[in-house]
Amino acid sequence: MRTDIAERRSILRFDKVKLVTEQGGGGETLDFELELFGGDLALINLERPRFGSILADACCGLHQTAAGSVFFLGKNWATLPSDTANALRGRIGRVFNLGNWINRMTLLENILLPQLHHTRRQYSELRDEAAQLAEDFGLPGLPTGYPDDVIRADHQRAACIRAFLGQPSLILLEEPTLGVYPEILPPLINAIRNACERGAAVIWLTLEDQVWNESLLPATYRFRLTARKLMEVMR
Amino acid sequence: MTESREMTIDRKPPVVGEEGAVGFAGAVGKWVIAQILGLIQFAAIAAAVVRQGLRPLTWRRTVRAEFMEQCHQIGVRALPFILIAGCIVGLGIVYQAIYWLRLFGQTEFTGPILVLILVREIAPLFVALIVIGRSGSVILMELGNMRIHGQLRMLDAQGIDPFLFLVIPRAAAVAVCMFSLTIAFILVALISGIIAGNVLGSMEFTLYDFVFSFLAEMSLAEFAIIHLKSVLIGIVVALISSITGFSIAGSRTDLLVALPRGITKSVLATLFISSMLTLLL
Repeated sequence: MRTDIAERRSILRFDKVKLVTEQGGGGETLDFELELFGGDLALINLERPRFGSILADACCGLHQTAAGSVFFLGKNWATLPSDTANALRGRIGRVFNLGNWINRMTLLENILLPQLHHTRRQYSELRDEAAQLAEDFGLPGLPTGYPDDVIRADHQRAACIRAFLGQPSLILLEEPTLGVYPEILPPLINAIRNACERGAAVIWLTLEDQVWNESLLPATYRFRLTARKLMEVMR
Repeated sequence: MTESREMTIDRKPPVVGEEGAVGFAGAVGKWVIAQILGLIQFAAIAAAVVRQGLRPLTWRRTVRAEFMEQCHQIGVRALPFILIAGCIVGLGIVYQAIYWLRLFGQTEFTGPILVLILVREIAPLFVALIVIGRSGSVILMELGNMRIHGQLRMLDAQGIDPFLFLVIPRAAAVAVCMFSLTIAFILVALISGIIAGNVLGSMEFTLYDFVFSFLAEMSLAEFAIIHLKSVLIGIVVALISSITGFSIAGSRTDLLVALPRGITKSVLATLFISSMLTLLL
């Protein structure tokens, strides 16, 4: 899974980070010490569902840290101007656990939106890449329906297409197999393997024991996120 | 933008507490301060919209597409209602003006009176009320729903600033559509009034005379007032609707409470801007 050491670059680094679960103060404090390089897949088992979006938001520089700094591609989120931070977020692909889709836009429009916003790539080129990913993830074609008209399983496949579209440097997967386990596993593992081979890092967040215990997953690291800290689990 | 969305200001009306008059004065003071803070916050957001709207970098293809979509929703789809409203108002006001001025032998005032009433006052106000009811409420509900369902957070996480992607194209679209719809309203009102005047035989002058006297009364101030009123009202209505939608704390009930509040604020702001510009120009 790991690419050559010389080519590996730091994608994400949590430097002595403390995250408070309630942004206004109070709540639990989570300690993080983590560095992911290109080619890494970190599988994280969550003790509570809320921790997933807090960690994913912190990776995107959207959850303020109580202490320490989060670095993405060597840049500290806390010191970046908003334009630069937004441009960097365009290099993160994410399967969201909640609030996945803008309802008035079709799934295809939702999928293409981040790439159309952040890049100058041709629409047809993006559409072709999305069509290829749709085929890989087991959809009969591009999902052109509206989110309310599509079944949950197809939502999840479309979310995976969006997360992997445009070759992002970091891919955050919040419960990507929800409702589509285990059939989505082979294409998802393939997509992760391809992403890691080209130098991206992947974080897979899960609450499900069956995913956590899945032997097929080529995880570089396995962590448990408890109410106190992120702990590496040796296998 | 995230910070401004998080800001909540207590705008509850003053209530007489147990402390009596002092408590009441304190409550009034708090309420006034909250209103002033709200206005300052609104002015800051309006300034940010103008500043960001003038940056070429803001107008990426996704923002341009959103602007076009909003122009279609706010302008093109509202056009039939505006045309019908223009016809009705034209039949009423223009025909009445022509009829009564002819009756009193003052037909030379037809142009000035129509310019004064229709162009300066009625058209921008009427169109604004239609836009508030038809589009302002939709903007508020849409953005409020997006806030409730975590879609604003999702846009943020994708590096798409909701302020740039949602608020600026809406503010620009409402401003452009308000202006276009006001012009359409004035044209239709005048045409329907002239037709009514001719059909009912109350016109003593030709169509050419009418148009000429109308245009002769249109000074630079009148042109400026149509532009300023419609554009300013459009931006303010879009901002009030957007800010109210963004400020919804979390449930659908909050949305239902915010909707009439947003509409009321928009109507009051429209009346205020309209009267202020009339006084100034």
